Amino acid sequence: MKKLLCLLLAAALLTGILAGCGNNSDGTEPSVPEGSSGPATEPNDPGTTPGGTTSGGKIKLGVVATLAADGKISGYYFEIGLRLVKKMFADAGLDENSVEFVLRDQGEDGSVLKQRMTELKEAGCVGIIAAIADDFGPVAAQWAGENSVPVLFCSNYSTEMTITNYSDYIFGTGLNAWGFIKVLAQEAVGKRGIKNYAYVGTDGAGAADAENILLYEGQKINPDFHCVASYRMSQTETDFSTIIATLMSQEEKPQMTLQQGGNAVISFVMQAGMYDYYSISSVWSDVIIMPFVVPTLVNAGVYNFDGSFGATPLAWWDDDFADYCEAFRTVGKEVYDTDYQPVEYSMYLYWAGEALLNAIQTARAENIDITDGQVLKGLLENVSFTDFGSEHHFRDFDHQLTMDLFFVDAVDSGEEHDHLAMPADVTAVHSADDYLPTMEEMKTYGIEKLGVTDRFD
Amino acid sequence: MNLSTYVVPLITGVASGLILYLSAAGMNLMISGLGVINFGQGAFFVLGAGVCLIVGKATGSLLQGMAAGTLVTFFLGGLLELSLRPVVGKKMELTLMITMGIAYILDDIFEIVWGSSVQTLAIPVWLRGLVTVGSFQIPKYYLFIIGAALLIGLAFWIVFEKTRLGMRFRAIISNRDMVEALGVNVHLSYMMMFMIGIALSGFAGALNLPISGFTATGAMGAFGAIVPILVIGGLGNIQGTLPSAVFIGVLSAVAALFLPKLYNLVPTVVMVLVIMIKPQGLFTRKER
Repeated sequence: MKKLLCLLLAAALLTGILAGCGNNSDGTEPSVPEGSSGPATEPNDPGTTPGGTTSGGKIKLGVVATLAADGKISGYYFEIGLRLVKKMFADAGLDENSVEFVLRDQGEDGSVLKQRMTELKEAGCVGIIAAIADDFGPVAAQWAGENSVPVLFCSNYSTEMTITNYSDYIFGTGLNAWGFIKVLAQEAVGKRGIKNYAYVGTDGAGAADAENILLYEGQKINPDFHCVASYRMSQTETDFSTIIATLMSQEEKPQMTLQQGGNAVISFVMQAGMYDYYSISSVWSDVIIMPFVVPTLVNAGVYNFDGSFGATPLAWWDDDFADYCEAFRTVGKEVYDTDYQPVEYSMYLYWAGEALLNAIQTARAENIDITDGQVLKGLLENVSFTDFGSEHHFRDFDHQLTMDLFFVDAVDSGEEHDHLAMPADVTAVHSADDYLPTMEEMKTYGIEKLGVTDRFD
Repeated sequence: MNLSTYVVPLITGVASGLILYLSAAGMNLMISGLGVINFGQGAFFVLGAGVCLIVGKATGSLLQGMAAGTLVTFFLGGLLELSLRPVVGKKMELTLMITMGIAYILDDIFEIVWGSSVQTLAIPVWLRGLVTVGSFQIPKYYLFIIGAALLIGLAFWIVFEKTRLGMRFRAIISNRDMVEALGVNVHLSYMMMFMIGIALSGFAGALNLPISGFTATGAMGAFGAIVPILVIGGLGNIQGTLPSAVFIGVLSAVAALFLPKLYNLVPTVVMVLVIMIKPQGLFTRKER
């Protein structure tokens, strides 16, 4: 009997690890369907000098991604996004003979990530695009520093990466977790006078920042702003009913609920709708205003347009962005016979590609030979480009890519909600200078909250 | 705090626990009767929800979807039993590995069929809204869940305790060789156990669909969720499944009320404590 129990417990723990570890975001990660060309897996190339480019001037760029897990950052979105990055390079005259992308699947384990990145380095890659969950960011940053290979991190850039585990070789092309929450705090506490909040989300690095910094930034505006309840969930949790019932029943009810957990927001809103939760609290999150969330919930009769708020870096009204979306959809139809709208992770990957292209073009124009990661790092620190109306460069003290952020609230168009259309109106545009934390703010936060005293010396 | 602060979360916790009870009861039936730990139980939970989604959207009826989800998983349970028959009674590790493999295969099939986006079905109008009981308000659908789960549980008990089929099940659980020697078709009984066990999980998944939505890759999570119920109730202890599920539901409510940051950990921690203190389960008699 006990032996049976041990087996079962081991199986359950294994299940938990497999089901929960490293998953991120909204669960929109399908496997490659039958008949498609499949992911762009490149064969290993053992014949190159570790850490250097191949002869003939060809530059190798590594791409490490989580191909087989839940998440907008992998699967179809990544595949299509990578194809568009390659097309971007080809259109700039840098085809596969000039720039080669070498792909590795990092799976779900941090130790595998390091191994994959090392393989890419040994294959001759001078830079790596890491399209992975924010949980793995610190591992990527540590590896980048130890190996002097710049890693462009295409996910939420948390304080754990920008302060605690910062490496000079990490470059963040994703959303800055602090900045995103600062925008929400300004909108909620500053403009709407909200006095308290509840947090329901995962315990990933970005999610932890979300709660901590919401309180930090909110109290800068209103010192009485406080948390009434905080729930940390596993990535696979879909049952929030007890939590919602508790929040509805307690004496001090939250005026806003910050929901961080991607996929889980759909389950949360469905259950919240059953309890009439929106009568006490609005729900704020990065995905609650997204096209792949709203129609599902509207069709279930539980989406509350008046009480759903979020922020996004996607400038969906911009003509150039519309062209990008069309290209994304075209590739999606060609490869997967399905209509896919890009999500923010698609943009992070695209911006990583743009930054690298910019760096390589500069190197060519100035006759700089990108022989190793250190050279590429220097080039990346000086890139500057504009797209979809937003200016981008990497800040010198945290290597955060600048981007505008758009605060939105959901809009009921009255028509059937198209999963390709953004069902929201922009109510405020926040430029990078406005919302990104300054070096002084990060230094103060690091000392006061994280015990990090030497980061900005 | 007034009373509703505790009552509504408790009722909600119990409702959530009862959904899992159905899947766990099905699993315990297979454990007690065949000694099979079906690692794919979560996959049939997901399949039941998926079939419910398809049929529910086509017919516009959640209840028809639930019936379809239950029936499909019922018949697939028979196929699963046939595939496991050569290894049942041999090394338990074999059935574990086979059912784990089946779970992973089904996981990928589900993703191909349904895609990875979360999908859901609207609950019928007559099940929407809140029911006011004194000073409490409880969603109608959660009361429906409690009613449906208890009804199924009652039916399960009646079949198990009061019918010839149930008697046969109990006899096989007690002494398979003797039953076989008496000329009873044990394999047919095994198949019925499997079919009922899998169908319970399928029905649970369908019941859960309007609450959590359908995620094609949710099988492992669904399996993991019932493990504490199985362990706390006693592995293979069918009678212990219901009180164990209610206990887990109450625990979740207590955690939500008093230990929010440890909400996810509480059932697992209690499970580990039970294994250490009373490994045969809280709701079972000690083995001699």
